[in-house]
Amino acid sequence: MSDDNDNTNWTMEIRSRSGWFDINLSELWRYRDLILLFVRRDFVAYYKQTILGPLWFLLQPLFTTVVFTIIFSRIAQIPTDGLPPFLFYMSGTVAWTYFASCMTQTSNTFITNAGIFGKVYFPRLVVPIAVVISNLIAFAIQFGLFLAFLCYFYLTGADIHPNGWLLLVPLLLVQMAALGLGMGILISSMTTKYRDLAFALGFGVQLWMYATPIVYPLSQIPAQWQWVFALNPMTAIIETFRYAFLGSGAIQPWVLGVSLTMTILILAVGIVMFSRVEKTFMDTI
Amino acid sequence: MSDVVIRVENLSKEYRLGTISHGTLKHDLQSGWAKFRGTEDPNARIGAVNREQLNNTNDRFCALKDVSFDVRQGEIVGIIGRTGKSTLLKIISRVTAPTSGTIKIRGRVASLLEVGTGFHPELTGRENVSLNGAILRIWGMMKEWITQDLISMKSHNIQ
Repeated sequence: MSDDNDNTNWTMEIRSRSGWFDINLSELWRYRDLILLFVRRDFVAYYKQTILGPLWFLLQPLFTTVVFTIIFSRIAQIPTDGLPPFLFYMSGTVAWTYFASCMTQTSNTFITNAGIFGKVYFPRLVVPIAVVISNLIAFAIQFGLFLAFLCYFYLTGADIHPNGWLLLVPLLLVQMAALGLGMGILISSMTTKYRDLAFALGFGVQLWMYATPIVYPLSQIPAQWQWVFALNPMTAIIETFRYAFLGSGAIQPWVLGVSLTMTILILAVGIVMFSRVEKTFMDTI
Repeated sequence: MSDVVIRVENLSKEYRLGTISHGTLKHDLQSGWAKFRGTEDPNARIGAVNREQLNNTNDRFCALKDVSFDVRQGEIVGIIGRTGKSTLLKIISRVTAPTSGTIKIRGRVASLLEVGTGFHPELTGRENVSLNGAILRIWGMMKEWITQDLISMKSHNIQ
């Protein structure tokens, strides 16, 4: 047997798990049809066997907003920067829901898909990316609801001022997706070893929400503690989102910079960890 | 030779038994702390003197050791033996990575799934078929005849 053409014409080469940066992102593009099929599956499977169907996407933020308005505005009387409380809470809830569902639904990638991952190869990142995209559809529906209420309040003369920051909204959306995906795949990489984290996540998300200015405005936080909030990448996203549509808030550009840097960092670490774990997790799960 | 479609070279796969992790963060931290202080690992198995011994070869399981072979185009190959058969197939189909060695492949690998793996009960037959086709990267070539088959099935009222 000759070895002259040993390194030519091989479609793929399987090697041992070598470096930390053994990442193949170009492969994801080749599997884009699979991503779309998974998006469809996730979206359809979400509301199948429910009576109200896709209506649930609207009911969730609506009820949350009503409850927040009653509890935090009427009962606890937390100020909302002079904005209509209903819009104030709804803007926060809609944006937060997208981030939180991206994170929680991607955080169990390895465990819930162990069955299919153990049978066949495809780039594992396909699954969390599909989750992020299918949640984008849910977000679009909920965002539409928010816009409808925004129009209603605007036309009835409420004190809101949509402004030029609206141009940043698509970027904020990408950032939320990146942050949710980054956190989710980071957690899923760690839960193949430690299942503990999966339990912690449930109330972790809850706590994180209260650490983010969703039920209260950032302006209510004393100046000496503002930096703590700046460390939370979601603070800048929520405040900017709210400022763009409602025209009131206390966001500073440097906080947005910190948030963006942390997002990129978390996503990068997440991808590195995920790519490392995906090669051998079937042996440990 | 150019008609070799799968070349396996010095392939090994080793499993470490029981020492990868205790499964919970608490036990891992305990063991790590004990190792750091040089004291006895509270989670070590009875009889094991220390963690180094746990990591010795007798706690490793070699499913594949230095396996090399070629498969040529058109050949039908069966694998028999005591251990490592499915491990080898798992490595070829990239479900898990080898410990050392390489596999070079020309063409496409499609592992035969058990019926229903990856099927979603809420999706229609057609959707499930296209999903599985996309996973196996064979959707392109089966698209036509499967679509036709499904249409003829429909016309016979078989759901």
